[in-house]
Amino acid sequence: MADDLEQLLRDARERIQGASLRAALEEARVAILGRNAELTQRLRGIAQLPADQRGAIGKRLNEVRLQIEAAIAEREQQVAARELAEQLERDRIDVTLPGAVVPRGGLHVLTQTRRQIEDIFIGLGYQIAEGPEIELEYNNFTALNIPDGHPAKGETDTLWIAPGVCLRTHTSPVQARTLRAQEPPIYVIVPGRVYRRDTPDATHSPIFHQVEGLVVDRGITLADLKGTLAYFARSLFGADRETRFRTSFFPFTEPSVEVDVSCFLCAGDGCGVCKQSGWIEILGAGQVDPNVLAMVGLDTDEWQGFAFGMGIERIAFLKHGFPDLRLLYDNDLRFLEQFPA
Amino acid sequence: MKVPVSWLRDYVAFDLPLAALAEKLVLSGLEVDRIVTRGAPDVDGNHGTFRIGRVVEWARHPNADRLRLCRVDVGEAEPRQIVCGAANFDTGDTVVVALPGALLPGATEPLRQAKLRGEVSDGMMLSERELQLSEEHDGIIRLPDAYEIGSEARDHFALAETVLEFEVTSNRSDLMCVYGIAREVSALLDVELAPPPGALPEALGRRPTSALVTVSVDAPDRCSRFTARAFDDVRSGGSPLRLRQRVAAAGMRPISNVVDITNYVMLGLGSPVHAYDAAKIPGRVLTARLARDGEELTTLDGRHRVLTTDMLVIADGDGPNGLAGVMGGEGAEIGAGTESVVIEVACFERAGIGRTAAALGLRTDSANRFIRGVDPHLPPQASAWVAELLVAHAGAAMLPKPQDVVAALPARERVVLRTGFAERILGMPIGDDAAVRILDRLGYEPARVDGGVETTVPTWRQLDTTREIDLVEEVGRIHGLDALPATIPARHDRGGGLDRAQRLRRTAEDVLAGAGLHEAYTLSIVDGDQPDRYGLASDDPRRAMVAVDNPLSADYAFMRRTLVPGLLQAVRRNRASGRADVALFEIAHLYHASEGRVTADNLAHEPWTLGAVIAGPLGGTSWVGEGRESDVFSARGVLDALCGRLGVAVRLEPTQLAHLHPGRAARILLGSDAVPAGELGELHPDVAARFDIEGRVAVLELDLDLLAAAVPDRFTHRDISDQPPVRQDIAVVVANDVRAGDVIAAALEAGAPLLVNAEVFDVYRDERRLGPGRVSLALRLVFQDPERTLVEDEASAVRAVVVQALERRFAAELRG
Repeated sequence: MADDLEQLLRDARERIQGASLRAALEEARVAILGRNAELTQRLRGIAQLPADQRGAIGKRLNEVRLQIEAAIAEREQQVAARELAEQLERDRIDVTLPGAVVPRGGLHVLTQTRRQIEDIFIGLGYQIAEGPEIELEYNNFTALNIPDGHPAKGETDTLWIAPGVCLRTHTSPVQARTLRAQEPPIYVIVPGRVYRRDTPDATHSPIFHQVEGLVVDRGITLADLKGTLAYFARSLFGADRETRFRTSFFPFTEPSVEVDVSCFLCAGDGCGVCKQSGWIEILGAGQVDPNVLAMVGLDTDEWQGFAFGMGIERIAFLKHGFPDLRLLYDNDLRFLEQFPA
Repeated sequence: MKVPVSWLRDYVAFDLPLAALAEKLVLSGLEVDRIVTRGAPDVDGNHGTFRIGRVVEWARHPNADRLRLCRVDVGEAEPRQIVCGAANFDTGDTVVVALPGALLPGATEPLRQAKLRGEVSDGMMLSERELQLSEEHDGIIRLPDAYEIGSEARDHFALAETVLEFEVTSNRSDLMCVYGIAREVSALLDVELAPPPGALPEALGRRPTSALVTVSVDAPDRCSRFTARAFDDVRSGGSPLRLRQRVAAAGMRPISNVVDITNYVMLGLGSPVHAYDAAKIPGRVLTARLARDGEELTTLDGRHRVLTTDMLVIADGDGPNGLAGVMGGEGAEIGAGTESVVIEVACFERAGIGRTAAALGLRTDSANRFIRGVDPHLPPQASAWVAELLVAHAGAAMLPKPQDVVAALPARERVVLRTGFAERILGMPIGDDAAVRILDRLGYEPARVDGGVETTVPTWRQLDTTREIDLVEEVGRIHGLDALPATIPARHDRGGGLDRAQRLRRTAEDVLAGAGLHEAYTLSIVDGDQPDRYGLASDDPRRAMVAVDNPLSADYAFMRRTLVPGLLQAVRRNRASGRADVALFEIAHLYHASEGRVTADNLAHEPWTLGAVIAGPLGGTSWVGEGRESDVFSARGVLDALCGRLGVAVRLEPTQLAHLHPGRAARILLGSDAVPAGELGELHPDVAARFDIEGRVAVLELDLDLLAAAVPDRFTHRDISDQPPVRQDIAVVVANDVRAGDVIAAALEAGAPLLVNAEVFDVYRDERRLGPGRVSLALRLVFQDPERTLVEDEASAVRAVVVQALERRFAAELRG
């Protein structure tokens, strides 16, 4: 009897091990543990056994059933693992093939540059002021201490809309608007589109973009301007950049300076971009001319300020080195996609 | 402004290297464009190989008609044989000879003894151009006989000259001359400045100046000063080599002794000078007056010019003789036969010269200086210097009683500089001593007063430095801005950062880019045909564009009222380069004005506007599959992405617009107030054809200011329900003019509050099954009670209510 049972267990194990497909294993289970299987029959027959044998045989039969069930479970795991492995092998694919289409857009290099500039000054607590592109002659010139008869006001440089109205030639008129609209302290930058009566070529465009800066507060010095612009230049062009001031002339600032940053391409050794000087001009700036402050009724002994202005196109050019300004307005995707971020 | 360094050294001594000097000048406000050295390289004793020689004899080269075989004495035992191509010399002439071994300007190899057509040439006789003294190359240099034979040429003139090329800012008229730049150098280096050049010679003439000319001013507001001197016995000829050399190095062409001297004085002192042949001044009068309409004049450049009444002329007894301050007339040109000369040194009003020069396209050296402004005190000094040079180099006799018609000279202003104020503006210490020293070097005649310095503005700075703040700049720039500390002002008063509209605009940019569109920058000035090209209806308000008064060309004549045509142009360009998928957006201003009319009292309305176009499969194609072909729903999807991101409800209202597909165009209504804020649709095929674009083109244009206004001020928190939603789908058949948007709205209304969402997930048309003109909309309904779990039956009851409502309102039939 016992030998008989051992044989059954051996046969069952052999059959289970021999099943390599899920279906075959299921078949084996039915054959070994199903309603008509020998083991099931025997288990069912326990009740007919003499009472003194029931305990031992019943225990032994149940042990065998549990062992078989464990063997099936183990085999099931093996089969599933192998089938999964085969499935995965069938799934194998060249993962270097291109992916599904996810449309990729992007921001124009001028927007990226504008945001970079804005963010640097926002970090210093500045706000962003805006003004109209069709602007009063008064704001564009007179309020900025640019006298009548100045060549910039002429028919050759300025696009006029109506008597006393022009397309702003710089973002500086927003200085005048801000000074009238807001009590100092004032810390603003003014990004925007400006116009000149220039024929488009590699270095000129009738339309371009500037960022103006204006600070008016008590005790503002030229040294504050230098520190602010040095911070700006390092933020934009790298921590090693040096900044220098050259005295210059603008009607609405006095003293006026042009600001150079040490060349970030050649590190000061001299290259084509810095014209062998080691320095690159990035913007014009100065202390707000007392005439400009007095025109809005500010006491120039109490309030001082500085202003600066830069071309976004120029900054973008310095950072990215494209050869022709017109590329910025052609909107050729082959150009735009070169500046993803 | 080009300044020969040897000339600069006439007025100020310095031993600092030129590069260091240039850097100081640059930082103080005088831009140095280039430093250029002209002439023979000054290396390895090269300059010693250029000698003064004398032509002992010459004969025609036996083998070449155009060459001469010469024997030239250069102070050696025997004359050297030199073959020469020039023909402007004769036996006995004094010349410049380069000996073998000499390195000529621009040469890479030294000169060698050579055989030219079979004859030995043991050196070279030089022209001015070969020595880079000037552009002159009609013959070799002939020198005065007084030069010692065999002496080194460098003892008599400079074989090399270094030239500083400056770019002078428009406010610094005083730097348009060598002496003015010397004054800057003197201040920067704190060294002595020589007195201004020009020592008046003794008047020797037999007759007074008035015997040759009488000057007068008829237009005093255009001519503040008119001086004249006259000279007899002028020997017209070439000017001394050194003078020619400097004039050429400064960028002007040497012409003759009289003309070169006038230019030399202008370059040296900054006051333009004009010379007349006294015999060619009819009536012996010169009057500064406005031209009469239609008067004519041939200027020195040989051009015939018709004058207008805004142009100032110098007129003689017969009419205009020259264009005042711009260019003289051919009539009184100095020539070989000139014996008596009248020298005019005058001051003309800046803007008038500017208008005349611009009208005639004549930006002469003289006009350039007058436009910047010439010191009215300067003409007598310049006139004296001209006289000194004419006497010295043209043998002239100066006539007595020069003339000077001068209006009241502007009073010299006194300005006090508070040193403390300067330090407060600059943010660095200066000190009284430094302020006085700097202002003294610059000619301000400073005197110490309590707390600062009192100055008298120099006559040459009266256009420029008349206020305390101007003196702050003077002191700061000479003291040196490189000494400025770098500080950052601390700001305590209020917060910074983007305002709400600016922040939302950035979000819009990011959403559009994230949706797969590239940002474009198109030109905001457009041509007048744009509305026609875009196909706008004849009554479309966007036809009324603001016009530019003085456009550069017809292509840039109007301020745009729509962004889309510029973007379509960009699509065309990209399609032309073979790109199928082009999706672009732009965020920029438009310019609204009623009837396109703008006045100083009524400027344009300039709303921030979004324009977008999508043409072709968005995102392109891949082996995995293609992006979706563009149609009206591409635009709708982008709009929904934007409005969804900003929390703005959006509704579309079908519309007819001439430039859009008649069956695929809609007005955009924003927010609960349904504010009309733009349009979207597919481009009308006729318009697409005009832009050479194939396929459906989705377009979208939206007023971003209105969009920003529709964004809720704040988004407040709502509790999220953990109760599971129940989803049920229905399909209703409606007439195909029923709008899906209306069906959704009606369903949500009828199913509230348990129906929390309804979406169209399928649209099905089949005339056979549904009947003509019918369409099936499949809706997914989502029911939820925030407080408890809904059972299917409760959801079904609400669904039945919804179905009933749709049947009632749209005659909808429930399908299946």
